[in-house]
Parts: sequence; C-alpha cells; structure tokens
Amino acid sequence: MTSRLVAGWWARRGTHLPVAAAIALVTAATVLADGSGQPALLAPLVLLAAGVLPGAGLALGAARRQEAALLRLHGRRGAGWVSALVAEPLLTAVLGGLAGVAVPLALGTEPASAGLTAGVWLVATATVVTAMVVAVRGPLPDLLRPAAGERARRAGTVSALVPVVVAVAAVVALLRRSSPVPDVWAFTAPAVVGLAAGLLATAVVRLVARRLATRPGLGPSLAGHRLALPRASTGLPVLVGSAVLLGCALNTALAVDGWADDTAVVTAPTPFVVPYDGSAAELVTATRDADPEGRWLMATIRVFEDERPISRRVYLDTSRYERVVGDGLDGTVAANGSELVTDLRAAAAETEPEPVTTGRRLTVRLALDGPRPRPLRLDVLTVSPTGVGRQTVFARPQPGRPTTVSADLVRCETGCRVTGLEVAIGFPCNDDRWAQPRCQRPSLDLTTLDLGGLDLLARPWTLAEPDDRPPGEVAATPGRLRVRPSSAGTSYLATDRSPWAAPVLTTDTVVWPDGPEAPTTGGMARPARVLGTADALPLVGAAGTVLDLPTSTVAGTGAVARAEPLVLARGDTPEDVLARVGTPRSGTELSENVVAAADEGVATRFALLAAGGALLGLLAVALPAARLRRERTHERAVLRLVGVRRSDQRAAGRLGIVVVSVTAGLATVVATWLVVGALSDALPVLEAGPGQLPLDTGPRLLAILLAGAVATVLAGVTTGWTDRVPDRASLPARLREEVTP
Amino acid sequence: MSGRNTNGDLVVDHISYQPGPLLLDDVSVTFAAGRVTAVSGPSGSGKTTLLSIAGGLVAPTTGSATYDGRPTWQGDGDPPPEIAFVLQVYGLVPILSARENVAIALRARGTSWTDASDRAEAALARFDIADLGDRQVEELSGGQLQRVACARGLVVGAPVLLADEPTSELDQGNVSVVLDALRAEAERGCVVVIATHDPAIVDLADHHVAIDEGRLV
Repeated sequence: MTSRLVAGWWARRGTHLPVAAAIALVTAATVLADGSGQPALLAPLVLLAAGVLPGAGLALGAARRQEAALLRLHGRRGAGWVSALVAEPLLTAVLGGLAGVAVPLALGTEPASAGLTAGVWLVATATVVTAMVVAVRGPLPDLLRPAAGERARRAGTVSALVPVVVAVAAVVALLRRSSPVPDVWAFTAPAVVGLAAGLLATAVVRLVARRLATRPGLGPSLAGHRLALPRASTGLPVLVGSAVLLGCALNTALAVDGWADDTAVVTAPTPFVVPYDGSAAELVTATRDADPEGRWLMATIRVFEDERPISRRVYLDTSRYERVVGDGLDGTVAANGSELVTDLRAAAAETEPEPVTTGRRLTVRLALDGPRPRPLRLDVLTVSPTGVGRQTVFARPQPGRPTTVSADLVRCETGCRVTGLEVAIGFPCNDDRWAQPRCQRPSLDLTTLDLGGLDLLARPWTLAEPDDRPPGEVAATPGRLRVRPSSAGTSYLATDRSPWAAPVLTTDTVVWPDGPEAPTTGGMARPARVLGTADALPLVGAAGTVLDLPTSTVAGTGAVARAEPLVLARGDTPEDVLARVGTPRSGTELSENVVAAADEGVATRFALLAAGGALLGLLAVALPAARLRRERTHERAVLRLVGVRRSDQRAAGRLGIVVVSVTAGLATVVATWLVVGALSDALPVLEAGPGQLPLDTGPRLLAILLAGAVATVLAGVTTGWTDRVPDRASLPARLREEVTP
Repeated sequence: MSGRNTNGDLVVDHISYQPGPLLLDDVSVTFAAGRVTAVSGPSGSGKTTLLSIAGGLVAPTTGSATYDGRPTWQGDGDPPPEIAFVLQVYGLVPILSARENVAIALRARGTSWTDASDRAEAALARFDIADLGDRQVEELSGGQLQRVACARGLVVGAPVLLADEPTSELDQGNVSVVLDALRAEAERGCVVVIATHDPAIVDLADHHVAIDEGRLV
C-alpha cells in the first residue's frame, strides 16, 4: 500500500510538487508573519493562495480522473473511494507543511502560535483535497472519457460571481484610501486590486483571442483558438495580483530605503562625527584651534530636550557650514533647509549682541505726583545665564520731591539682560474697588534708571498689561519715563528687544506659544526672529530649529540637559586634525538609532511579502502550464499529421506569448501604479518618531516597471514553455493510440 | 515486390519493425490505387503499426514503404502531403470546433479561410453532422468524433487514405455512410486502406490482407 502510494505520487510528481510548494509557501508565510508580530501581512498571501490552491487541487484531480474511475469500477464507493484518493494529496500536504515550517526555522523564526500555523495548513490542505475530489466526481463514462469530462467543469454560479466580488472588493479597497487607521485592508488591497486587474486582463486576452481566431492567417487563427480556451489564462488573475503585491512591496521597500538614506545624511551630514566633552565655548575654540581655516571641522550642538518641535534645537558654527557640509544634503528633503544656513550665517553676523549689565547696582531717581506719600516698588526683570531674575527697589517718596534709591543686583554675576519692568504704587485693589478714591494711582517720573551700567531710559517702554486689567499710562521719552499704574496698583512694561533678536531657522512644524525664542546653548531665553522655514533642517530633521552656535554661546552658560556637543568632520579630514578634537565615529552611527526605531524589520517584512508574492505568481501560472503543455503536445502532433507548417505553429506560439505577457505586464503596471498612488499612504510602514523625516511613498518607476517585468516574464516564459514542445515529443505517430486529452 | 513503383500504388516492401519486441516481421504488400484494401487481424496483430509505417509516421527497422516511387518516411515523423489519415482515436484538435478541425487540413494545404470553411461544412454534411459544425470537440460523442475524423481525412482529396478502425464507434447506418464515402474515394483513384477487425467491412473491400503477430497470413 505504502509503496503504491509513493509510486503513484512519484508518477505525478510534476503535479504534486507545485501543490506542495503552494502549501509550503502559505505555511511559511504564516510562521513568518506570526513570528514577526505582523499577522496582517499574511492576509494578501492567503488571499492569493486561495486563488492558487483550488486550481492546484483541480489539476491534481484532472491527473487522477481515470484512476478515480478505475477505483469505482473495482467497487470502491463513498468514504472508501475518497480515502483511497486523498492519501496522495495528504502526503503532498505533509511534505509542503514540513517544508513551510522548516524554512522559517532555518531563518531563525519560530511560530508564535502553533495553532494558527496548524489551522492555516489544515485549511490549505482541505482546499486542495476538496478541489481534487470535486474534479474526480461525475458519471463514470465522463471520467473514462477525459474530453467529455471537461463539460462537467463548466463555470458555475459561484465562479461566475468571483469576478464581481473581486471587482467590488477592489473598488472598496481604493475608496477606503482615506481611512486614517491602517488595517488589514491596507495590506490586502494590493492583492485585491491586482486580482481585479488580472481578471480584466483575462477578459482582454479572450477578447483579443476572439479577434485573432477569425483572422485568415493560420498562425493568428491558431493562437486565437488557444487563447480563447479558459485554462489558457486561468493563472493570470493570481499572477497579476501577486505581481502587484510585489510591486507595492518593492515600492515601499524603495521608499523606506530612500528614507533611511535621507535620515542618515540629514542626521549626520558629514562622514565623521566626533563627540566632544566640554562646554559650547570650549567646543568652538577646540574646532577653531584644530582647524583654524575651517576646512574640515564644524562645531555643532544638538539639544533634543523632549519630543516637542520647539524643544529640538541644533546649533551650528554656520561660518564653516558651507565648506564642511556644502551640498551634502542636496537631493534630500532637507536641501532647502540646508541652503538657508548660509542666510543664517549672514543674519547672525549682522545681529548686534544684546547689551548686558557690567555693574552691580540698580540706581533709580524718581519723583511722585499726588497729595500724599505712597509706597512704591520697582522691579526690573532680567535674564542671565543663570536664569531669570528680578532686581527690586522699594521707596516711599514724598510727592513732588525727587528721590534716588538703589539696590544690589542679584543673579547678575555674568551679566543680565533686561526683559521688562514692573511699577507698583500703593496697595493692590481688586476689581470691586477700582472706583474707590484710594485705588486712583499717582504718576511716577523716572529720570534715572541705571541697571549695572545699562541706561534703561534710553530704551522704548510700552505697557504690557494683561487683558483683564484696566490699563495704566506710560510715556517714554529719552531720559524720562512717566508711569501711572493701573487701578489695580501695578503696571507691567515691556521693552523692545527685537534689535537683538537672534535669527533662527525653523521647520514648518514649530509653533511657539509666546512668540519665537532662541535659547542660548545654555538655555537662556532670547528673543528670536524666524529667518526662514523649511520642511526639514540639517541634523534636526522635520521638527526643530537651527541657530548659529557662536552667537548663541554665552560665557558662564550652565549645562543643559541632553545637549550633545559634536564636531562634524569631512571625509577628507587629516587624521591628526581629527585626533585633536577627539575620537571620530562614523556619521551613520548618529542615525542608526533613529532608523532602527522607525524601521524595525520593515525591510525584511516587505522583502518576504514581495518574495511570497512572486512565488505565488509563479505557481499560479506554473500549475495550469503543466496541463496545457500536455494538451499542446497532442495538438502539435495533430497539426503535424494534417500538414500544418511549423512556421505557422511557431507564429501561433509567438503571438500567444506576446498577447499573454504584454497583457499581464500592462495590467500589472496600471494596477500597481493605481494601488501605490492611492493606498501607499495607508500602509503602516514606519513608527513615527520625533523629527522623523516624511516618508515619500509615492510611485517609483523602478518598482512599478519591475513588477510589470516580472509579470511579463513569468507569463511569457510559462506560455512559451507550454508551447515549446520538442519535435520528438509531438510525433504524429503518438496519435495512433492516444486519446484526445 | 522491390523496385521503383510510380503508378500511384502504396508499396510496403519487406518491412520489419522491432522497437523492442518484434511487431512486424518481413511484411510486403501493395495497396493499389483505385481499390479499397482491408487489413484485418486480431487486436495487437500489427494493423495500426503497418498503417503507420505505410503512411510515413514511423520508420521501419528494415525494408521500405513508398508511394508513387518515393519513400513515405520523410525523416521527421510527419506524413507526406499525399497521405491522409483517419485515426482510430480520432486525432482531433481539442481547441477547435468540428468544422475548424476539418477546415484546418485544407488551410494547411493553402486553401483560403472561406473556401476551407465551406468545404468543411460540405464534408460534415456528407457524414450527417453538418449541424455539429460549431460544437467544440469536447462536446461531441465518440461516434460524432469519429465522423469528424472521417470528414477531415476525406476532405483534402489526398491520393492515399489510411483509415484505422474508422467505424468502431458507429451504428450500422453511419457505418454504411462512412464505407460509401471510402468507396467513393477509391473510385476516384485513391489508395484506400482500412484497418479493421470487422468481417463485414472485409467482405466489402476489393482486397484483403490478413495479419497476425506481425506477419501476413
């Protein structure tokens, strides 16, 4: 029994092996998708396999029709008949299943869920066995007469509905392209649209076949009759579906590859990066000492405090950018941002530094209007490298008598910058008492306001009252500032710091809640003016700001969390120059984490998807090809018997190849372009990280043409293989006792 | 029986055929033009092999088969254009309709598409199956297939017609139709050879050759 089973299997190995390959592919895909935590990836392959496996079962059945009939002639019926027939496909399924588990294991992937793998294998096996049993059913005379048996397999209602269902599914898949949540549909859509395109291609082939069949030439006429046969193009839908899946996977893989390259070069625009251990000032000094002419090295500080765009800052020694980085970012999404760095350099050089205190005392000369003495408080708001400060004087001047008061400065050891002024007279009033006489405030005249050597009366001052307070009054003239606080008791005054605003480059994603800011390398707040915006900026990526390093470096700057001082170095930097600033690392090391975090396994997953698609496409056309070749062998023998010239037969073969392969290729190109254009944005390709460059998943000609080429070649090669029957195999003599297949 | 024969007969001269077992052993026979020759014998006696060698489908191990003085074996297994076959298992093209199966033999000989179609229609009508012209081969019964094969064999008007069991699937009425058609071919000067084990056909033939275990008896 066992030897008979093996002998039968071996005799039909040409039919069994593709079936085993299909089951192996489905099983392996299950293990790999399950093991990688992306079971959704399995969906398109299962869909395509569903188009291949029934055909495989039918092909197996076609090869065993007479054997099935003989079993019935020998009295086997019902379960006994079925069990005698299913042994062979079960052996095939077991072999395929073992191979399907062995391949992922060899690649280091173990099935996460043995139940899922077993379930998929079981369904695949049941599909093949059921299709085979269906193919060998029917009246005994029909089974014994293969030609008549064809009538039993006319398209039924279910198979007639398949194109309609696939077409509707394809339309739904395309219309769902705006769905914000990537799901199984996003992975399945390429296969569905491809299947629909393949069904359309089949219809086109048959349409062309009908035209060819009525042509006067024998070659075109024969080609037309061959192509009109339903089984001549039965593998086309799955082939096109697989090729479209392959094209989409390739397109995505190319997009991710390009994104990884762009991310690498934007994150580290030079081949070498030297981590530096020191302050910003020391970093600038070190690079300039090591490379006085600025030929190779550029000081850089990355400060990525958190994931908000305003917290991602990069300081560049812009005076060296052109020589060290130059056009290194050309062709990337940060190319425009890179060009803006030159403007940043010029703008930073032209910006006057903001004056800072040099002395240690705050001196104020003031005079108060009004009928009686009132207590007053005057605060000068400052900012220094050590943080914000408030320099305060108190007084109780007699009305009409100028008074001079002074106080020591606090937190201004390294110099303070002035950000505002607060003037408070009398006791505070709330909004219930504003109308009372005691809440009416006198005016205060300031004729001297010196903050550590800064004459603050030389500046313009304006009210900066909160919206819900009644306004006070301010009159500022050079050398004199007159303030009448609001009924609440305090006025807030602002000064214009814009002449000293630091130029800054930003990405489109940066939004400041209180106007642009340009913190120094130590984190001291500075006013800023946006010099330019871009989709992406060097080192920053798609979210953050770029500032000029030398003008952002303030002596006494404290350490800032997550600041990374770096020296960017050109690839031709002499080793001794590099050695003077530290130990160089490859620039790509800087981007490895970013790319790895976003692209974890994406390339592998899509490569497997593409490979699975290509294999299914091959199986889809190879399964019917074996049977078609048998039929073509008989047909050629007949044509030789009746005297049809070989040139006519060759012409028919060539025409068949051209029609099938060109149609398959065109259908694949159009469907791939459609799917990539409409659906690629919905694919869950990358994990979005802070500042991540945008992934351009638009159509790539290479991927689309490659998918078309694969479909063309597979269709052409298999069609050619079915037609290329050796003369010795198609001798008319074989017809003496051979039944029409 | 040796020597060059140019009178339109099909001559088999001392043929032996031994691809493994000896299937034909020194067979010599002349199938004369204008006559119906019946080759009879039990199953496996070598009838089909004799017709195949005579028609140029198979090369003899020794000996020769000639028509009009020229060897029928052309070296590639294709029959010469002067010889037409009606095969026991039909030998039809599954992708073509009944009419196209007949017409293709004419188109292979250069007949135009329209003429070939018209003549094929007439040939099918000769065997009472004109109404089946548009049917695919796979939709025909065994008897219908056999009559299509006969129509194709006869339509080209070849000078030699080799028919292997051409009536095995037919009812008596259709047997008569086919035999009448074969007789008509002989009457126009054609070499007609019928391999059969039907004694009735043997009786109707002008000439009878019996064969058993590869030898003439």
